[in-house]
Amino acid sequence: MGAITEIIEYRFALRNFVMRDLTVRYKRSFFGFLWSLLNPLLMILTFIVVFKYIFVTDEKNYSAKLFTTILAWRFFNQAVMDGSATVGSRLGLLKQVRFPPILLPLSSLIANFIDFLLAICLLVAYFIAVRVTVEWHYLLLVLVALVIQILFTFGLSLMLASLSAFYSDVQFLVGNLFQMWFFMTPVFYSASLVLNKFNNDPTLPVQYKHLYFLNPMAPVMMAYRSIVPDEKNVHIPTVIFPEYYTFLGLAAITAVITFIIGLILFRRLEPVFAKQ
Amino acid sequence: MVNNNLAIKLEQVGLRFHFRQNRPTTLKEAAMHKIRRVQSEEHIFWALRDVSFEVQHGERLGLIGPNGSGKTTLLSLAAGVYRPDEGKVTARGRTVALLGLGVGFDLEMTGLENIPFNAALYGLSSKEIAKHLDDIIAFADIGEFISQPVKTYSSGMVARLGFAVAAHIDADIILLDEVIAVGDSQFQHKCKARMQRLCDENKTLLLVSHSMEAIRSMCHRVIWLEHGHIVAAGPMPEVVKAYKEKYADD
Repeated sequence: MGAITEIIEYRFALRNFVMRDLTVRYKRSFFGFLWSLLNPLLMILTFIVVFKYIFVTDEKNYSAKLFTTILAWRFFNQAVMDGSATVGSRLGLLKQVRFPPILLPLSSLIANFIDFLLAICLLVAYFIAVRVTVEWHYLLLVLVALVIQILFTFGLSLMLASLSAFYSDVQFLVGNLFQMWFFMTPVFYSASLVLNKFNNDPTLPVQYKHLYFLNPMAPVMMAYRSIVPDEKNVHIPTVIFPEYYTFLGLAAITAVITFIIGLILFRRLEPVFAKQ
Repeated sequence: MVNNNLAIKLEQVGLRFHFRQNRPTTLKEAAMHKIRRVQSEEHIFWALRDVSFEVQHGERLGLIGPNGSGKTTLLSLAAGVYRPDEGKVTARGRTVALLGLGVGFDLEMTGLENIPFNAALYGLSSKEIAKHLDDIIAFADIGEFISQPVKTYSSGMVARLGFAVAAHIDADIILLDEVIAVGDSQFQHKCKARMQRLCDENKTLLLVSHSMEAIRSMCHRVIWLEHGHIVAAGPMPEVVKAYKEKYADD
């Protein structure tokens, strides 16, 4: 609660931190914004080449799905990466001016969210250009997934940001783990591939399946995919995975717990940030 | 009893730092230490201990003492940058602290962008900042550089802009650490004039300085610190005299 009053009191500083992040990221131009999308666009292109021409997938609208999930994953990845460096890289400021340190990870999250919304505009333009009709009735599911993702992102950012005050290699470690995490999450492939493996091979222990879907980002990514239609209905999470809502609920619980632990850790350590 | 005129109050304040030999600074090192069971001894260093004093609104207090005596740490405590490990610090009113040069500037942003960024950290709204923007720019007087990123500035320019922002924030309590000693003589002159105005406006001031001349011209009262303890506190002439007797060459 104390955190909220502090944030309201320092709202102007918060806004300035967000503006700072965006101006530096885009280097003050619209071209800078497009330039910042170069990495995800190249990644999308690579996966399209790989899955349309090498491992040919029979999925319909693969590019549209990929575009959606890669942008969502980029928001997650970038927000946690940026957030995890905020305190460590701003120790000098914390030693000289009194302001609530929570502004640092929070402003980084907001800047990345704005960046995500801008990228969504590009996605909408793409949908219109390739004439993909969005499944509107799944929009609520997408919003629920987005809320879960944001809570989870902020919780992780808070934990890692507090560690970054004491250890200088937090971001390096996070970057490496995210690479692994990306492949363990249905971002560039459909979760139905994983589920088919388990359905076709009864010797595979079901615990592994549960483990895979306990990753909160798995049900979240499935939710994003649901808005891009598919003739075989494999885009609908509940069709391919009957226990989907249970795992989405578990993802929500994980996100809330992560957020609470992150907040407690951050608040407990913030008095000593300036002493580092 | 409630003292309404109280600006800053420190009650038996202590601040400690923990030093550990070969303390891990990366997660990798921390993991290696765990595996190799590296024992590290911890040393506790009290930067300040058992420090108590009060400052009333409109009072100007000087802090003197040799290097490493805890003057800047004390200022940081009053600014709220550090939280005390012992005792209690109370500060009433908007506090501006200039604890170094170019406090809190972002090197990637221009001087113009940094002014609101910096002032917002003291809780100022965009409107309040806009009111003073021209004055700040005129005071800093760094010409075309104002629209260049701060990373291209010389240290003198950074100091000018830093002082300009701090001096124009309408604060009740001002904490200054040796800032008058920076910049060329023309700028020093400007700083002194500005400081004199703050004195005339009856602002509360805490000043850290090695310059007895600055202390003499501005402070009512002086606290003499050594090794994190108060050696003497009292009216300016007495404490300065005692201090000068000990450090005769000053």
